[in-house]
Amino acid sequence: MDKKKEIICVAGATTAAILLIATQIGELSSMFDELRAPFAWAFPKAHAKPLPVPVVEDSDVVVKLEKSNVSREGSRKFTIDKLGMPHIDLRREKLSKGVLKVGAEEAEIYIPQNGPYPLTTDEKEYGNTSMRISVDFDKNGELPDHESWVSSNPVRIGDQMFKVKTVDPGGTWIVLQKALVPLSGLVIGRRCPDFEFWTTDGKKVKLADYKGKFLLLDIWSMT
Amino acid sequence: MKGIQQEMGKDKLQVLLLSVDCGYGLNQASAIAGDLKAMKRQGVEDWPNVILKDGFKDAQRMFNLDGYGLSLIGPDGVVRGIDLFKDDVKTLLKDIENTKS
Repeated sequence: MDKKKEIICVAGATTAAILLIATQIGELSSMFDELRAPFAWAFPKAHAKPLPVPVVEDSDVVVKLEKSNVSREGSRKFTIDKLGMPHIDLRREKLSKGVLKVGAEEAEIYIPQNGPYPLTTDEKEYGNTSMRISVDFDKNGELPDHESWVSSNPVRIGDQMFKVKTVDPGGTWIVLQKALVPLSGLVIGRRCPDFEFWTTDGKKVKLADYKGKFLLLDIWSMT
Repeated sequence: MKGIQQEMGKDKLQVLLLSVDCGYGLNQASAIAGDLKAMKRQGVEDWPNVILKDGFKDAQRMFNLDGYGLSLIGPDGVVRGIDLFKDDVKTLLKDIENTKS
């Protein structure tokens, strides 16, 4: 009986010890995750498996994507880690390319090769954190900032607005939906979207007021 | 930019200021007052100034612009340049004039 009790006690103690060690490993693991977060780029996550191309409604367009040699400046995501150290991710990101017909024209669109592909922005973060989709309408292989669009807003492709509906977690297709919203966004060589504003001295200004003149739009702040 | 406008003439080149001050937490009244002070210092108090209530969020939504800078719209309403510096504007305007002639 003593031996049985002994065995039960040892088994119990061993189990408790294993559980305690596992908990500590779990805590250590989450501490490790926090410490390595600013260097997440060095620990690439496993790629999500591609899903089959979906069947979509008439108002939607599926664009198949393939890995390309084109890259662009990364999201320049600004973060502050637990130690209060600021980090800006400046890596160039490799892109996958798809071709979309808009009217009689073809547009080349690009999204990052690797996910995740958030379609909404995290309001707690600095700047818009949704996936950026680049539209190379002039097909010159260069993707400056002004050819990138945040997917949480409608995206202008040519003279048509689209909403990003879904993205394959594996990055092999994207579903765009024609958005029935007024044209927005500046695209070189394309018409400036109509605007109407009230100025600080109580006057109304609209794009049509500037017909026949050059107009400079100046984004500024006094701060 | 004032110099470029004086060179070209106000009838040929107009500037529309889009202030993003409210996006930094300032209320509209403070933004208007502060902007006017800054504009007076630069001698451009006669330029039309628009307060974007949501700052850069509005700039991004309306124009897909998420940074400071100049964008040039042609007399026909077509966008000629985006994210320009002052010297880029001068060069671009010259190029457009040369292309015309």
